[in-house]
Amino acid sequence: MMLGLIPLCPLIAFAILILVGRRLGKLSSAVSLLALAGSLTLSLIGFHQLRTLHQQLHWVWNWLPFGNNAIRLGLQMDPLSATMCLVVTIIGWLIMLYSVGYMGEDPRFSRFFAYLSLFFTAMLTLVLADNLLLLYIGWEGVGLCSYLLISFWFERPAAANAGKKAFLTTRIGDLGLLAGILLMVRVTGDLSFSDLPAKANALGSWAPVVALLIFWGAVGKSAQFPLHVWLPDAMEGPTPVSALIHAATMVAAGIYLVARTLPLFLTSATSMLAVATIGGITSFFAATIACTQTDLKRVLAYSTLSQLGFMMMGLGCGSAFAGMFHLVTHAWFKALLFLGAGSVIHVVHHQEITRMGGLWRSMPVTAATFTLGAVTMAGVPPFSGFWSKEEILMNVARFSPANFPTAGTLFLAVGLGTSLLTAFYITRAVLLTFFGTSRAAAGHGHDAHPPHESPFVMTGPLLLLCAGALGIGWIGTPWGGHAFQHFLGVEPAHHGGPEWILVASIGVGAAGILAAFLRYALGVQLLPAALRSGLSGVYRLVANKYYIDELYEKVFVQPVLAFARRAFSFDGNVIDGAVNGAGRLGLWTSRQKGWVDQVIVDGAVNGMATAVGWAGGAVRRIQTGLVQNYLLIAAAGAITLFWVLQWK
Amino acid sequence: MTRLMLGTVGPIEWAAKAAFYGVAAATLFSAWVTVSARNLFRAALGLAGALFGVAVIYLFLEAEFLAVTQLLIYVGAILTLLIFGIMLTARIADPSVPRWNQQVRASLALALGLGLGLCGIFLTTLWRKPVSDSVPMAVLGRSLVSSYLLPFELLSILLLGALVGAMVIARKEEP
Amino acid sequence: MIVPLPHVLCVSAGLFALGLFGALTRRNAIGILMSIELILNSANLNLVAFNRVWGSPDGLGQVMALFVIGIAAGGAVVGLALVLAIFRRQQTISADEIRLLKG
Repeated sequence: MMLGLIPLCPLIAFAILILVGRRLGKLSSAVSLLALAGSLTLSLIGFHQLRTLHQQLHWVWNWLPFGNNAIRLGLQMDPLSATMCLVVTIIGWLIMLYSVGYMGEDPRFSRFFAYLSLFFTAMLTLVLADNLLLLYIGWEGVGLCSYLLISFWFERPAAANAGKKAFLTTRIGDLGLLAGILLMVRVTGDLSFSDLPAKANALGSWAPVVALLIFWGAVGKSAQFPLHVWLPDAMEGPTPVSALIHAATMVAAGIYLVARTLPLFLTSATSMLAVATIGGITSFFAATIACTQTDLKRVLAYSTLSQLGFMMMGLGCGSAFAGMFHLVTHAWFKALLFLGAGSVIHVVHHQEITRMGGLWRSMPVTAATFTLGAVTMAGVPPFSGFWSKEEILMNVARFSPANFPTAGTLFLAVGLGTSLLTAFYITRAVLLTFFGTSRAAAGHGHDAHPPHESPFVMTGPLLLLCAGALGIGWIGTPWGGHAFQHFLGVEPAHHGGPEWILVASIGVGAAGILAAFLRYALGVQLLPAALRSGLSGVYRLVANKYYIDELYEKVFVQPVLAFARRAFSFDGNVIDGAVNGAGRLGLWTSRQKGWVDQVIVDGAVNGMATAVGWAGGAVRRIQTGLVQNYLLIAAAGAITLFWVLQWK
Repeated sequence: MTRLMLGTVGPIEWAAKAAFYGVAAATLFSAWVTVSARNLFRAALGLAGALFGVAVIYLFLEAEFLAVTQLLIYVGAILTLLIFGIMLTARIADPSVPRWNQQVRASLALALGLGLGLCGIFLTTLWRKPVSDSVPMAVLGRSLVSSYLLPFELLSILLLGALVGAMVIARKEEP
Repeated sequence: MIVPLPHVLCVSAGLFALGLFGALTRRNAIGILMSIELILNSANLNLVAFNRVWGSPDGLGQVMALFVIGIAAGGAVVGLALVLAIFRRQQTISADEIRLLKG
């Protein structure tokens, strides 16, 4: 029962805010915060029960009984979902607090918090579900909320289009997930997460198919290549939304899904390779694009893509723990980075890092927390990012599937390359935004007031997130007793792994930071001029995101639109024509019938009346009023009768 | 008595027959006058003649009481009444007024057809043999006050009613 | 009887026919009344003739004829009263000028 309250509290907040939010005004945020705090508390209680008492909470509900069977829905809190619950509620609460400041002057303030609450309901349902069906329900719910929140400022066409793009792209992924669910229920008749290894065996040769279909759903939701195109555009939404949904939680849902259903993937080396490959491709190519972007939020968006790919690579190499560990650390530092970016944007009113610079003086707290977050992401020990990244690299190195034994080495190379680029681009962003001289254009119209630090309601969460980002990795380390591993029931990885990977990852991180520092802080050109001009074409390719959006536009979008236009004209001309024609036919028919009614029917009726009148007039002549006439007729009748009877 | 007078043989019987046929013809002629005379008074006189003739035929049929009653009531009372009525109301002799109404042809045909038809039937039917004698007046009187007392009394009531009703109808309106 | 029965009956038939003719064609109301008296007399003649030929208990034929005479008297009385009343109202007793029943 208590489990049911965890997603229910935000739902109640949503209902309240939708109905009376406008009247509550600024109080709406308090309603949402309170509700989410409730969920947070309950999650903590559940976590405590799980950790200390080793009691796994489970709540089942017969939704649709039919015959002897029923479709059951249930919520369960096992270590995996407890982890996700805590991540979602804690980070979500901090982001919600931050939004009070960020969305303070927005006219649709209460609507924002209503949507946020609805999002939390869906996300918590997704995370606590004990079967694929309820998870899918939550999955769709978060997709809806993502759409609502991306296009929150729907008056801007870019935002509205971004929302549509996000929804449609993730929909393509959702079809895969749905197909996987249907296939699974067809073959095994059971969608619950209990005893998945046995179910994987039961599926037999279908297991990889189901696994890959489910993975396709994760590809959509976690923005892996090739369905990654929606995430950069989703930055059109308010920054808290980007932080919450597109960094910390919703995009992590795909990772969570794969981690949850990993036994299905483990049955086949092909599916594992597929997951790892896509993860690897995504992480490397997104990292390359991030190096060229000038919009601060775009940099962070591509960074998210890259990190998600990283997590997916870790999962593909067989370790649910590695993926989840990086998910947790990434949630903390990416949320921090996004909120810090939001703080900057809130003050300078634009997002171009080429026009920023030297902001550390006017926004010290933001600058400090942002820089620390960047350091964590770059994988500098002893901060959290280092531990989780290293965990993934360890597992990747050990990956050796039967049909591709050297896969591990390849993926390790990809991972190290991505780490290098990650360190490079994030240092670049930090240096260009906060340090150096200010490049803000003089005399900007609405920059009437100089940049200043954001209010405490925004910097407070930044500080807390910073503390978390720096320290959370500790739970997975030997000094933390490998608490996280034990919690998830996993063997710590680097008890048997090669130590040189540790050194290598530190090395590439340092190299990346150094390169960025040289280039952007000191202005040193890293590449000789000849090489630079030769690579300018490559640079253009990368800066334009490899023209993938344009490709999709040409191959998919335009034909669909053309077809839609043709269907529209068909509908307008043929179908509407038919309908109008039917209408005209009806009118014509009714006119004919009207004529018939007036001329023929009324004519008949009137004619009958006239005939009766005429007959009456004719018969009236018998009634002469003369008694002798009557007598004559009577006598004639009587006598005739007499004669007839007489002669019978 | 008549039979005694008339006898059953010879010239007296023949004369009686001739007398009957003469009376019959006279009656019919008078009736014709009644229905066709333009002058109403003449019509009334014709009616008188027809009534007389019928009374005489009653005598031939040995119904003496009835003959006398016929004369008393019909000729004496009813005819007088009719003549009173004529005097009070009609324009007696107006030559411009036509005699018949427009039904004359149809009525003539009807009446002729009926009359001739009836005669034909009467003459060709095989009648039963005559059986009886005449009815003495004493029998008549006795039956009137014994067997047919009820109709007798009813008739008197009827006449009373007719009397009162006629007075009511013919009364002069109060001005 | 002096003459055979059919001859008497023919006389009454003739009277009846004449009376009917008069009732149908006379224009004067009193003329119609007179014609009706003729018809009544023809009926009486029939009754008496049949009574003479075939007889009846209590002389029923003649009794009936007597009653008919009485009723005829009553009828004539009422009829004349009606004629007088109409004459006073319409100033005419010509039957084809009295059309109050015209439909």
